[in-house]
Amino acid sequence: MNDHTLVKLIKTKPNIGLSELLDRYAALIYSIVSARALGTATCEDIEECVSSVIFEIYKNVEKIDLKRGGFKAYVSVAARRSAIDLFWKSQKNRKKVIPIDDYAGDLVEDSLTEDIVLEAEEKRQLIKAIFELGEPDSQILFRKYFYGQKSKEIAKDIGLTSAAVDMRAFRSLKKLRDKMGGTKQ
Amino acid sequence: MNIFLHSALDKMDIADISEIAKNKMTFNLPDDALYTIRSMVFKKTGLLDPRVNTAYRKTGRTAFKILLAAVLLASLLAVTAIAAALSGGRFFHTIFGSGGYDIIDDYIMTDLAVTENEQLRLTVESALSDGHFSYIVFSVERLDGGSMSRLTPDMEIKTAYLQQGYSVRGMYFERLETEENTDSLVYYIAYIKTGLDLKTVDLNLYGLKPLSSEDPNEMKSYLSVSIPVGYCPVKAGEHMNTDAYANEFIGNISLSPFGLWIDLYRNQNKPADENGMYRSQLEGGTVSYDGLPQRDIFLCYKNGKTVGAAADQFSDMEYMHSIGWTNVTRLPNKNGNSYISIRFDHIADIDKVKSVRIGTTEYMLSYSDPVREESSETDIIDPYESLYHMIFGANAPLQIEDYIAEGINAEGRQFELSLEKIWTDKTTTGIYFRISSRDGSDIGINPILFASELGGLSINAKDKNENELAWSGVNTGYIRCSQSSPDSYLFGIKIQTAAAAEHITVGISDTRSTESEYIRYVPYLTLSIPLDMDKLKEDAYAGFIETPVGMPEA
Repeated sequence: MNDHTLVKLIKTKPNIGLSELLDRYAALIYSIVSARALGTATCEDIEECVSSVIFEIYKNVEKIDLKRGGFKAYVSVAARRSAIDLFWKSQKNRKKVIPIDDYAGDLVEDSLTEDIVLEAEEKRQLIKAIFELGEPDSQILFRKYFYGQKSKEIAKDIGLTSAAVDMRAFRSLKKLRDKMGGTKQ
Repeated sequence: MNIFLHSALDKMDIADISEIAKNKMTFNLPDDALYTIRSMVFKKTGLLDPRVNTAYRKTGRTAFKILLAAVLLASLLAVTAIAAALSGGRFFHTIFGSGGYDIIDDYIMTDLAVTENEQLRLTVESALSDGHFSYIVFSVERLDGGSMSRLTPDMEIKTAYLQQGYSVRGMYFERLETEENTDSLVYYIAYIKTGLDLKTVDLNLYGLKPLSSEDPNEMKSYLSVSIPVGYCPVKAGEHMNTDAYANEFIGNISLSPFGLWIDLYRNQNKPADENGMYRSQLEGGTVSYDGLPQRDIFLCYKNGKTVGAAADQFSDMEYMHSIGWTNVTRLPNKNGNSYISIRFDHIADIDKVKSVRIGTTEYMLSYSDPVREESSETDIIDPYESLYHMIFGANAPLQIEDYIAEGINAEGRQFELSLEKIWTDKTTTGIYFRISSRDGSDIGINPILFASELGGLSINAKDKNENELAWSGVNTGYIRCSQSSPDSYLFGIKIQTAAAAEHITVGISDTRSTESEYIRYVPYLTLSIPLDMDKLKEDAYAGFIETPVGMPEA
């Protein structure tokens, strides 16, 4: 079933289309939301957030423009945005972000505050820099930190070992830190 | 400058992510989380989940073949041939050895699907299932004649169930070592374990992937087949839970020639609330797995022989070739229930097995393979029979004819609760009841299915001395509904009590949802049901009708 068929199914047979939407995208959305909000939100909050994302997609299916990007891209961005809301709601006084300057082990740092959040332009520069890493490194970073895929899952999908995925992620973050002028703290 | 990756990735838009999203990605979502999310989504939309209405279909071999033929014909995939010339069942000798092979021979499903494209051919050779344990033998062949020696299928195995609900699940596949393997054609076997009876298994082949980074490049190529699943006969345990205050109860016991499945339930008997009712597990919440002791498990043969293992020999996923038992798993699920699954590595003649001993209790076994008549026009059976198999399992003996109809009901302000059918042996009781809108309006969201916010369904069982009995076997996994008409829902419940019960009271909140919240109009709407089949069959139902507790003026 392609994207157009799925959208058509949701419009014409809502309950069957919704069921198909759940089968195809619930796991992806769950992974994205978990990656962004885990540690700050409870499992129940994450499940509620995932259900809300799917409900919103279902409600707004008429507005989805598949020419702008595939259905999966639309779902991915919708999930990320809801996850951001959940993150801030869950942890107003704490942030769980990944500082490139402080990559170590599990890549998670939680001691950062509002004043160090980048301006929009700098964020765009970082996204551009990730793309410029080339394949498969850029894909590994996006999979790991946007989609929340585990190293093992990434390894399976792109045909590397888990260790190779972790090593490439480590080196890529170092490269980005150098490129963006970060300093080890 | 400090740079924070998550913060930057938050700025990704659809254009940014579209190229990345085109790649194949693997995600895993636990069944219980998916079930919760699914329920939430359908609740939000107010739509009926199509899987709740999935009708049970006969799964006998004949019905299975009819269904298989329909699926194959309807398939949009390039199904090109039926492998009729060879018997795929021969591979099960490799798995179980030849001893007792004749016991399962009749139940091995063969002549299954073949699908191919320009690069690969996927052939499903044979399958065997008892509902919980399933084996599927398939082969993958390179049609370009290239070698398969350092490649392995990039395979996804998806399962669908006869009924909706929480299902433990585990599956993997491995290369089958057989002389029939060639350089370009290799046989594999998929092992599937499920907590609910399977309806279909989808095999999705995404191509071939190298075994290591030194090996040939991957080959991307998509093929897919869907296999309906039929079952071999199984024996079921007879429930004998006698200790009302035990920490756990044995639920379903299912013994097949190649596996033993035991469901365990925590005692959910909680102090009664102000209405004298117990709440069901639908209240939600997680029950700790702590305190459920491991048990010795033995198969007891009619000739006095016992085969099994003591508790200290069990551990999760332990291999037990030495005694012929393998792949022992004992895990809790979200509701605090757990299960024990034991996959045998050779065929057991269940005809000769009289009981299963779990701890110190012996559970007698009897065949539960239903002999069902073929339907005339369609495989879809009536809602009661469908519900019956949903709550008792697809292999349960059909006792639908023993149910009585109508007679006991209770009316609240908005809803009416009415008993439709019941069957009981006093320890195991099957009840069908209907919840209807009194004014004939659309009942909307199922008030029991989403009862976790409401207090919802309540069960109270008493023995002949009016002592309250502990019960088990009532949870979301056993409560099924189908929306038989817009203004009512039909429910089936299995209630298993710790000892013989004289009557059971089923209660439900009389509620109606608004846009933002549920409002409870009356405390409870209750049906008090005497568990005496003779009395129930008499034409004197009025004596059993109980006035609803606290019903307000209409």
